[in-house]
Amino acid sequence: MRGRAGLVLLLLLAAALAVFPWVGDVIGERFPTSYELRLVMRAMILAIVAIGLNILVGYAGLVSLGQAALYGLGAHVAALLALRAGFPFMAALAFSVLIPAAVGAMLAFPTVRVRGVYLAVITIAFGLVFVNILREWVGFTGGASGLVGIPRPTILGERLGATRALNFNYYYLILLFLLAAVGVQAALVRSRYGRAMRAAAQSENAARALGINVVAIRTLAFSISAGFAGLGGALFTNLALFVNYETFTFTTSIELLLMVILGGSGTLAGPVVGTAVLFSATQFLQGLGQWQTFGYGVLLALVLFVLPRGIVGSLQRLMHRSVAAETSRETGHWPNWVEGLGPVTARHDDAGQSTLLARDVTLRFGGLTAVNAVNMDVRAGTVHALIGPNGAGKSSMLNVVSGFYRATSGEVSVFGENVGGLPPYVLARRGIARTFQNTELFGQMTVLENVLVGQHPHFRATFAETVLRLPRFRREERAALAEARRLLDFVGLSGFAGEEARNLPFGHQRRLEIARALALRPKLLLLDEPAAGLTHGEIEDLVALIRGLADRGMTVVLVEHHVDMIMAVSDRVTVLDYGEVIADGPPSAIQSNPKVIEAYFGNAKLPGVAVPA
Amino acid sequence: MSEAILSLSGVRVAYGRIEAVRGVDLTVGRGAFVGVIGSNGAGKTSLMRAISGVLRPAGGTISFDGADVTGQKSHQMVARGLAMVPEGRMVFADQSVRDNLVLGAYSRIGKDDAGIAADIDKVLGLFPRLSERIDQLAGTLSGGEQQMLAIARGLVSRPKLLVIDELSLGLAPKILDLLFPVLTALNKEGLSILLVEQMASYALAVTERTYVMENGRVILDGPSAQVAADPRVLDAYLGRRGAA
Repeated sequence: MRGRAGLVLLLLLAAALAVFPWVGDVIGERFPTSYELRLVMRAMILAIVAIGLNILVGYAGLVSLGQAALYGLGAHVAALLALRAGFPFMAALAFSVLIPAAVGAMLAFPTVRVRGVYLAVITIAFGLVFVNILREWVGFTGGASGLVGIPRPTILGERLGATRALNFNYYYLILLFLLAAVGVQAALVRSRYGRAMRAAAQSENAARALGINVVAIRTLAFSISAGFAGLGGALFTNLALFVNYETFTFTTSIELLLMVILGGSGTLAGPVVGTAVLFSATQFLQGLGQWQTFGYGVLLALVLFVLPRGIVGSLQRLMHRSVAAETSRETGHWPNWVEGLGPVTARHDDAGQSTLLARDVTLRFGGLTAVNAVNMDVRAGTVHALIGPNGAGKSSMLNVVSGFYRATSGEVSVFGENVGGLPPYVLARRGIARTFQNTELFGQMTVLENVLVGQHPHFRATFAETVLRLPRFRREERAALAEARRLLDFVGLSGFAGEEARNLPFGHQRRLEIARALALRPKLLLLDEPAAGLTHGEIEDLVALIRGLADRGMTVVLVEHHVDMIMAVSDRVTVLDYGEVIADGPPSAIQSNPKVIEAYFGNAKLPGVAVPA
Repeated sequence: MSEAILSLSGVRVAYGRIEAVRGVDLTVGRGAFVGVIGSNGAGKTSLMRAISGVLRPAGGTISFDGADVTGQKSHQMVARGLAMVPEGRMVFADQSVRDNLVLGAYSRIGKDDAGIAADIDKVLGLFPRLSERIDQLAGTLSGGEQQMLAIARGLVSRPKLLVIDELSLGLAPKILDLLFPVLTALNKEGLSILLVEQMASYALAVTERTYVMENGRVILDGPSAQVAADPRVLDAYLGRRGAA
């Protein structure tokens, strides 16, 4: 298993933390001092914040450079509510999580449409503004002197503190929150939410085509990370009983990011290990005086040079290499109509209807007309091929139908409803699945995980049920796993289930993309050049698969260049040239149509070899 | 000087513990036109990566143009006269057609600009459609034009051997009718070509000699006409209904 290195490290660390306050009793020295104890508590608090940041950076693939401001927001909410409104500890704590989470959502929602540096820049701006407000709004935040006199926290009348007299109860409360944070992170990552975050980071287009609302899932990721930061802030306030802006500057944001990257972003144990290492290093380097920053920089550069995926990430990679591969890498035959595929293949539109109806669809990019007044009528349960020279507008047409492009004019209706202007993820949820010409797999996820992402819209368990791993979540997850394995059997890729998708041969990537599209349980399947890169034998199998799906009721639109295949599998063919329909009819009529021969097949005889029939 | 431009002996390629190529012997004679066919996962692309220096072989030897080049890096192989047209074309999408071609002669930029210009003129003669689009960004070309550009870019490096991975990928039949004669013509002029092709009927029709790979090994090789008549090839690669 991949997470084993991290799990071992985590358990060791948790055990060490649990006995830490009592070490002095065993070795008979005054250790840890209350100063040392508080250092460890602060490290645990930072680890909670780093875990939240890891969800954002390591899984959702977004960068925040203002996490310290959200940490500070939580700290100030806790301080102000306790100081000015007399809120009890737990109530103030709840608001310290909720308010930063809400602010995070507001920051993220307008910025995460585009990946890249936008969110990072917005978070920097937020951090700067936040610190400035704290410093200047003296009447509210105390300015440089900060907020003092915060009452000691209590739970149900029980005083909390990190002293021997109180059995170090606040220390253990923080440890408990840390363990809970680790648990929530693990639950989240191993659920449809975590898979959707990773999917959106690795191929945004494929994620949208599989029914994932990319903006919503990224906003959720940022909101969660802000909630974790706020929780850390509240715990900090109640430890220090004093807050001012100095703790929450840009430097702290950078340190938090370094903790995640040093430990290994995108690993479960990474943020905790990273925090432990960086925090200890900082304490040690304080002895170096003015060389502290220098030493800090050199240490970081060294570690990342030797362990480019962070400490945990690199360890996992080493262990993964030595552990026997779970994959046989044996290619199975396909299509393999295994038992239980019914829910996937038996979905169909009411027979006789037009599943897809395009009327005068035109698509322009600036001055270029990619699709010009195209009419198409795709009947339910048929295979409808769309052919034409390279650049004729076939893929553009698929992009219009699947919602990636919005038609400049004309009307597209699917399953009898006008779908113009609906985003891809909504269309996917209605039953339109697609593959991509250049295959858009989630390259760093396993073959099995890729198929699981396709099932994203089917889950009914709520966010809370997922995080707490309640029965409905577990039941759905088990069912999804079983169906994903059946789909891999179907396309003959069971032997590659544990392999990262990017390592598959090109033709196998095509098979996986089809399995993943089917996981959506579509009624309309759009295939963009599924045979490109396949051998003749494999194309015959693909024909059997497409024919089999159509015979079971699915409607298939096929963009393809392999003439033999089109003739063998299609019920109807539409031919595009320069964005316009030049022919439409049954395959036999298309093959002998002089306009099609001129534009597409070419007049020259295809190179062929003399082969006995 | 040896007869062969490229000769492989017992070449193995592995990803971690998994062997993708398990001991392949292959020879491309000077001026020959050789094809490699096989199903997906047979190891063809891995083999090409080893030949072009993108991957270091786990075993075996590769000699090119009379020298042992086992383990040499891709830029060294280009300098020795090997040009690779990769699977999926990989043109520089945000640069013009002309700049893509100039980059094909990267090592000569600034030293032999006149020579580069002459070479570009020559390849544009092979693909007139590219000269019509010389200032267009490569990303705006159609799939067929991108494949022409990828081949042209390879030729500008003045190769002794042109290696093409998946010429036909995603291309309309009409474009293929245009591309294959160009390759045949280049070969007639003396260029050695190694073609990896999924559409076996095309590869067998244009090449002189064909290797068939399965599970990382060569299971059959010989004159293309002979290979085309082999029952195993007929069955798996040409389809029972006969060729296109």
